[in-house]
Amino acid sequence: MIKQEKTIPIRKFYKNMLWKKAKSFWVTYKTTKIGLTGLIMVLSFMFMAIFAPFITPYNPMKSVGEPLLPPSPSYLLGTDQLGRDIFSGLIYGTRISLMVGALASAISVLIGTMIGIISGYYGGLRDSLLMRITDTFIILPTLPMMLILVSFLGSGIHVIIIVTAVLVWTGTARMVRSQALSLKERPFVEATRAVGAHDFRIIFRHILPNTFPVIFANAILGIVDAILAEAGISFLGYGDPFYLSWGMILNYAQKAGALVTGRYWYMIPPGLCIMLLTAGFAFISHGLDQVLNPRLRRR
Amino acid sequence: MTLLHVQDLSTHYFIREGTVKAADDISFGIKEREAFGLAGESGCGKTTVALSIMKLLPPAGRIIKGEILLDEEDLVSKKEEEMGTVRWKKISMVFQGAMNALNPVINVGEQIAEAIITKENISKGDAWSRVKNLFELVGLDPKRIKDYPHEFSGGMRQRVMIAMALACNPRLVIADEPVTALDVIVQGKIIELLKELQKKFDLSVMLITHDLSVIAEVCNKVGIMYAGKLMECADATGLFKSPRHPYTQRLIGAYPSVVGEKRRLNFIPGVPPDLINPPSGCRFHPRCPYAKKECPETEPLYVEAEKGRFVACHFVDELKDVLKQGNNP
Amino acid sequence: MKDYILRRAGQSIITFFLAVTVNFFVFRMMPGSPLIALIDPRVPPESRLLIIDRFGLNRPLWEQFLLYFWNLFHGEFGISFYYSNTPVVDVILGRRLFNTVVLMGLSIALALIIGVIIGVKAASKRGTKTDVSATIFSLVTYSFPVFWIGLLVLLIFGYYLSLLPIGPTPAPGLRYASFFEYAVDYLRYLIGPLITLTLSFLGGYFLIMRNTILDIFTEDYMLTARAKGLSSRKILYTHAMKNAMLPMISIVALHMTYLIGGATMTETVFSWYGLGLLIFESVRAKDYPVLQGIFLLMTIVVIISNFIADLIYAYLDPRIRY
Repeated sequence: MIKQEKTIPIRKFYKNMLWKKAKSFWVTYKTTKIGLTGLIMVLSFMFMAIFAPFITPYNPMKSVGEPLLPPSPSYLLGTDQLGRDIFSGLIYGTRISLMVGALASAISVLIGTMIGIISGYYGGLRDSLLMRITDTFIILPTLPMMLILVSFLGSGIHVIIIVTAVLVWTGTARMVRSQALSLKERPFVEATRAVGAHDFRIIFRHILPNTFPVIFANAILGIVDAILAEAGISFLGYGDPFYLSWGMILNYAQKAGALVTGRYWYMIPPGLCIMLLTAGFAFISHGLDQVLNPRLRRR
Repeated sequence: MTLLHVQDLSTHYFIREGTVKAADDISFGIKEREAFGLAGESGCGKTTVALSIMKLLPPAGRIIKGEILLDEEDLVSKKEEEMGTVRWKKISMVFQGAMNALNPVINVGEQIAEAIITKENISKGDAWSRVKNLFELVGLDPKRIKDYPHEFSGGMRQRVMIAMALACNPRLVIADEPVTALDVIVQGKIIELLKELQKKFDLSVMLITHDLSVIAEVCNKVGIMYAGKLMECADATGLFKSPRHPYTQRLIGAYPSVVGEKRRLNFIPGVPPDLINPPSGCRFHPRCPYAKKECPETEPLYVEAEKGRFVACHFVDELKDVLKQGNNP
Repeated sequence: MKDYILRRAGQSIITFFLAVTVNFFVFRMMPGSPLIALIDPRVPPESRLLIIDRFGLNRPLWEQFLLYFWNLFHGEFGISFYYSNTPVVDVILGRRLFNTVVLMGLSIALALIIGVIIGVKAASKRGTKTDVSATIFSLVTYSFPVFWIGLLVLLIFGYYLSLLPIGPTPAPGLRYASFFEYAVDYLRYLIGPLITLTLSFLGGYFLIMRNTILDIFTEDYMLTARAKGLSSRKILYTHAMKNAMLPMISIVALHMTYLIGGATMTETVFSWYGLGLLIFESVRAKDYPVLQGIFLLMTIVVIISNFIADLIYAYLDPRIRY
């Protein structure tokens, strides 16, 4: 009465399982309206970033017209005080934000995960020491610290990325650590250890995969923080002068007195872009949360 | 004499993946001072039935059919506000695993007292002295009424839950897996306590568990559930001596006996079915050793096979002797 | 309980020393740090000698480090480079501190109150229009670039509606006809940054509260509370909230850093005469003693508030005490 199941080779079995998990994840994710909206928003920006050369009429860094012109058919958002097309600058700015956001977040997640796992899994003195260090970094106020470091180390884009990463990894570290702590106690880890597996193997094959949801969620939020941090630094005048990020555009706008002269076409679009891009990621994070964290889901 | 009568109760859960038919056409009755046991594998719908009676289903759950008559009053049609007079005053519940059933940041006495104060019009002082009495009743030190849940052991927390359930003198107490999470010795003590309290206060008890041995100790009448359907319902002695449903027989057979010669445990092969797409016809047919052609085609009727015994099986008469205790296929 | 307090106090002290050490090294080790005092032309010669002597800038690093600590405990934070001959302490404390604390304190308090109330409401009405719209609103404000919101507020209410002043806050020393006039004028300048900051904190608090309460709803003891037939009001506010406040306290304690230095962007946009603006100006002027002083202040405030938060936490959560 019970059917005998065919045995499948292990590799293929895992691949199937992964594929099934991914599919079921996507099916559920699709139903979160907010998550889906966020995904569409982010994808639109990515599209803008990739196809920037085809969408923009002008080179954003070159002076192409009279300074401080209002919007017109030839300059959709007018020109800045150097005669550059604001619209083109806006489109190209997408690249900077996405790049900085993704890289800074990736690095910070890397640091945070490493510290979190070592702290959580090994515990003891290593844990105490790492936690005190983490606490110290948590206390450091992000923006002032960034300002100071950037003013010392220069405004290169790579500096900004690394400085951001170095200041925001603490959230990931704490969460990964608590995950590792609880996973460490689970029977399957004990069992693996009983079979004689080395710590390394346990960490990489068993603990780490189970922390992926937490890591991923943090990575998305990290992107939000990174983009906002870069925008803030650039706005205050410490951004990379060779790139035109949205924050930089706003910095130029402020310098040109856009506020006091009511040049809303200069001031509003860049900030709006920042907001929409980060909101997109925030929506995605919310959608993720609804999928990964079943709280009595209903139809 | 009948305190609670459940008739054709069907409760489904509506979730993203589909509709879970957690309980279908459940019918049984509990008399006054009777101890009714509801048994079955994990996930067969027992807790759903209990939550349906108390109207405590989560947002995804809904009673789609049936009647629940408490003293001739139908609970299904009652609105949420009207349930206030029923909950805890007429029916109360002891939950599974009191580990989390008690709020960790409020002391236990407060949690019991608030039920009393809310439900009855007595002063705080009177409520707290009743709490002290309840503590003594269940065998706890009355000086500890202001302690917090984490300061008690598992067995003691369960006693607190029992004290809380009795706080407003209910007629029926539903106990959902009250001893499952406890070690055997403590289990025995809690079971004794339940029996004692039932006698003392003329309570009706509905005991839900997957552990047949507990039911055998406490209950007069037993209902066996499988995959959301009630398969058999009979008085305890009769059911254990001569089960009339294949599932009941296999369930009893799966328990090792301390007395008698050692024999191989007869487990039931297969796994409980997915309740979003339950098996057609009789839900037990994929795992039933006696299944024939009719079983997957039509659902068996829940009939009174003999006085006071209800069975849902196509071959209830044919299998009568085969299923007698001791005959293991 | 005593053990817990002692342990936390010990940890706080360690963290404090670590933070101060970082504080010291960041400003000394960075390229072009206080050694600038030796070459910076702005610093008059007499002060220069004084500084070199007081802070041992010509002595080996480890001696400088110890001297730094010694000075710290004597309340000696140095002399500002930019504001010649003014001790750092005077520059930081006083009007600027007051302004920032008022602004940040009010913003955080407002955001907390509104966020918590609406968060609880939204969680209890999950999935309804109220919940979804509040959630979307919060997600969006969470992603706001703070400075841009400030600019928008100024643009709409200042430029177009002329409700708010666009210029900088009146510097200290301006005389007013009466205290009342002073208060009114103060409020006029306060509203812009207040709205901006409150909005930026609001989203976060709302989302955390909502998520925490939703998590609590899945706990068994919530089912018990419902079974007992308690009013939904009682269930929500007594049983759920008590548990939900715990994580909130930790988060607010963390936000105390902002109490001192967090309003940098907003203060810059609105030219609000506070510590955030001071940070910005000091970075620009490379006025390290002042920056060090502010950092120290922030560190102390955060560590103390974390410690207090832990005490409150222990008071509220009986499980911690044992």
